Amino acid sequence: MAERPFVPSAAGAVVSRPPLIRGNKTAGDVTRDITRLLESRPTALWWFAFLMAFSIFALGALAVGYQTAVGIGTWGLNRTVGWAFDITNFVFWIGIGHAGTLISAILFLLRQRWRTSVNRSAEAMTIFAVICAGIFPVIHMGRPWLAYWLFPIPNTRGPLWVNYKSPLVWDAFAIGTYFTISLVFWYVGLMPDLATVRDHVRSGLCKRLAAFFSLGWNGSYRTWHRYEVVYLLLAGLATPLVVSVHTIVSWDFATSVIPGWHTTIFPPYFVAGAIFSGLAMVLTLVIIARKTMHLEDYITQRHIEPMCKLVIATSGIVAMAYLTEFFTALYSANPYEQFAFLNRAFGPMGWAYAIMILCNVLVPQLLWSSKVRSNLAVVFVISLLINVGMWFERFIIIVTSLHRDYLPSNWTSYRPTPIEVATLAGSFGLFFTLFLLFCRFLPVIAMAEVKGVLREGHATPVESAAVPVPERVEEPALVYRQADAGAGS
Amino acid sequence: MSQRILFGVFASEADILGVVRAAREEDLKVLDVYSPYAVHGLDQALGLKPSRLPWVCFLVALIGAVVKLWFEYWTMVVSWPVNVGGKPWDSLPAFVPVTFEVMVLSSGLSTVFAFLLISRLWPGRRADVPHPKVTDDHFVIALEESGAAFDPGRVQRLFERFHVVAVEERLVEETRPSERSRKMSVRTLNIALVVLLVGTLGLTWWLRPDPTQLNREFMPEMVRTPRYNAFEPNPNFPDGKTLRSPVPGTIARGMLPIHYQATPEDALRAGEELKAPFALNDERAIERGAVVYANFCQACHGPTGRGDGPVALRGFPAPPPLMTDRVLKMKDGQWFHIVTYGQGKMPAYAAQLSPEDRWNVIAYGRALQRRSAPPAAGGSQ
Repeated sequence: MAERPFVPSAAGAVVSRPPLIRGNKTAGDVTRDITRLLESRPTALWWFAFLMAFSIFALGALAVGYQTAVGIGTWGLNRTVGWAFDITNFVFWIGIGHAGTLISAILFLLRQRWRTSVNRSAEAMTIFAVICAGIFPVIHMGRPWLAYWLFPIPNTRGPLWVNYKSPLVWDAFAIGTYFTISLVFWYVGLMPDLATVRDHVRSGLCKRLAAFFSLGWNGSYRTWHRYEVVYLLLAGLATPLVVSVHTIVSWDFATSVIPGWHTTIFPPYFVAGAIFSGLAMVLTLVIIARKTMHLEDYITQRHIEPMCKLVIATSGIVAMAYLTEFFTALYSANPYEQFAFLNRAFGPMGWAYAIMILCNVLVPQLLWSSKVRSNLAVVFVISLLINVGMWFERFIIIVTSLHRDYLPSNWTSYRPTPIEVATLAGSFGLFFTLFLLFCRFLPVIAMAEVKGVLREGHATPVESAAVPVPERVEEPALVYRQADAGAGS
Repeated sequence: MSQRILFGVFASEADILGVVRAAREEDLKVLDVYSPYAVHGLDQALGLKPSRLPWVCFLVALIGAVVKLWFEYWTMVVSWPVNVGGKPWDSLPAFVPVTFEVMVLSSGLSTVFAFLLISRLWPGRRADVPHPKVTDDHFVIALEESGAAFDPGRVQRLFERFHVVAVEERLVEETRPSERSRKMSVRTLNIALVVLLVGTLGLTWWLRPDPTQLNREFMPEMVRTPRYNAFEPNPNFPDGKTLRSPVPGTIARGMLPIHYQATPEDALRAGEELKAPFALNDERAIERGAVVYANFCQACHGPTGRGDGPVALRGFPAPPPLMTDRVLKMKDGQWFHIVTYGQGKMPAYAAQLSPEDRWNVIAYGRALQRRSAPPAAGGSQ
């Protein structure tokens, strides 16, 4: 038996892949690089972005305040198009969140180690996107102060309970569970890193908050052992959960009898579209974070590349769904169904359909080329276009199905009011405000996870490159330093 | 009881794995290992048993799902059954989504709480970190300094074989303070429970229900709606009225418009075109027509239609009697036109009489004509 039989034969791995983390980082380098971001003062670029995002958020908040005071007559909704911008934005933001859970939970179960550099920001994105999404159904109620009626609590109305047969109630439960579990998952992932921040940031608000929220984490392996189990269990719970959430969102539509909504393809179609749009948003955010926070060594081609490939795959699924919808309509021999789809593609909102096809089906095909994938500027633009396309997809599903239904005397059009546009912009403002605050106050890279994959892809044997030969102890021999019980605390 | 613990600090993953294995082979008691990340293979090296947290997760998931399913059934079937599109009240497939969500929520949260509880982690807890670099890039082994196998010289050689960085010893007093603190915490808990009990009873007494009063309402919303009465001025409409006027061109029920001018030519045309909607010798129509005639016509035309009503007797130009040849030959439609638009000194009655009553009064007029047709029968009136 060799002296260290536990050393995995990394040198034996012949397949040469570029390293996940560049620059021969040691674990100490990771701590220093990431905690330095929390100690340094924000850059001018950060302030510019923050003020910009915050002003847009304030504009949206004003619009929502006005709408709440006056009523949803301030929106462009009418008797035929009863859902439009509000529900479009809701579905859009919920979808964005799904890629965060994909990266944090599903890829964890699939042992994809490249997720470690991006999972923290992807999970943050999930939480912020679900916050943005949750706003829309609440303000759509018109009387948002009655939102607590969604909960089955004893009340003076009977008690009258919520209707458990309604997809809208399922939705409230799904979104609430999704938000809570995502937040807990994110926090559990943060605990070891908060301990690192507590011990290695010199002073300031970050350090004090981290000291409180790290829950006294001290790196004990007994805790780590249970922690790994909890993380695995949460990943196992979050995986079916994320699929259920967008499935239930799609049931909001599919259980109705509106042509263009009443199809069984909706759940898989919505879940694929959600992951597609969410991955595009992760790419957008990660490329911004990489550039503005100088994380080039941590977010490398090894992280961008698989995400681009996932985008191609999900784009294919979404394109398949678009085609299947047309086939279903054709094969159904139902004139209303056939009309709904012809009207979608060639009716008065045909321009939106064209944008959707261009951004969701055609543009992602550029990513087949490795040259395009390695050009971050192009990937960034593509990711933005996909988000535009996916927003229009939801707009088309909702508005074109509603604006021309069974009775031609009901037919009408829809046009958003400035209040609705400001609310949409405000949700983006809120999202980026939260994300920029996250970048300043929490470690953007999951340090404890990255430290575990530092040698991934390095051809050098395990300890020689990554771990320097430790300097000897200053004491020549083993000297016991006496310390009493309270020494550590 | 106190415990002496020896901490050895190491700089690489390989060293900590090696030292843990070697220490266990030499029967040293490894209390714990501290590491900046989850080192793979360390659980086997330490001989840790698999965690029982999956059981917590599974059992709470089961309980959560069953309780929620029961609650959905109870609310939808027992407490307040709601008929949704004629579906059965206990439509179980519709309860699946919420049951699933609650199952995930309860098991996820309780697994994390159970983890925090058994790992003794809570917000604001001061961390007992054996070495400041343990959350950075160093690894620490904690050995118990008791037992037959513990020999400082051997441990020193063992540590040096794996490139030890630093060594530290701590004396941990365990039992007594924790005993006292446990008593303290039990007393605090008891006081808190008593306060809670007294507070609950006090609130219950203070809020005791009065059956003669209405229940407390939270946000009664539409129970008392502010509203405007029909003829009140209303600032919310541009014309300032509460009562809305019908859309221009609105046709009231039973008021189909007829398109004639108030001229003798159009009266003739109406005679050709208009037909009574019912037979004019209808008993009911004549009966009703008699009432209308008495109210509106008799004043001029007289009780038998001879043009000798009280108004005419006092000097107003008398209308021609209904029994003249001209009137007898007049068609029903022309008569309708005259009642509607007036003729000569006779005003229009469209505003006073509904179309149906106009036909009724024509029916009565025809009856009067029939009654006086044989000249001999006239005296009977």
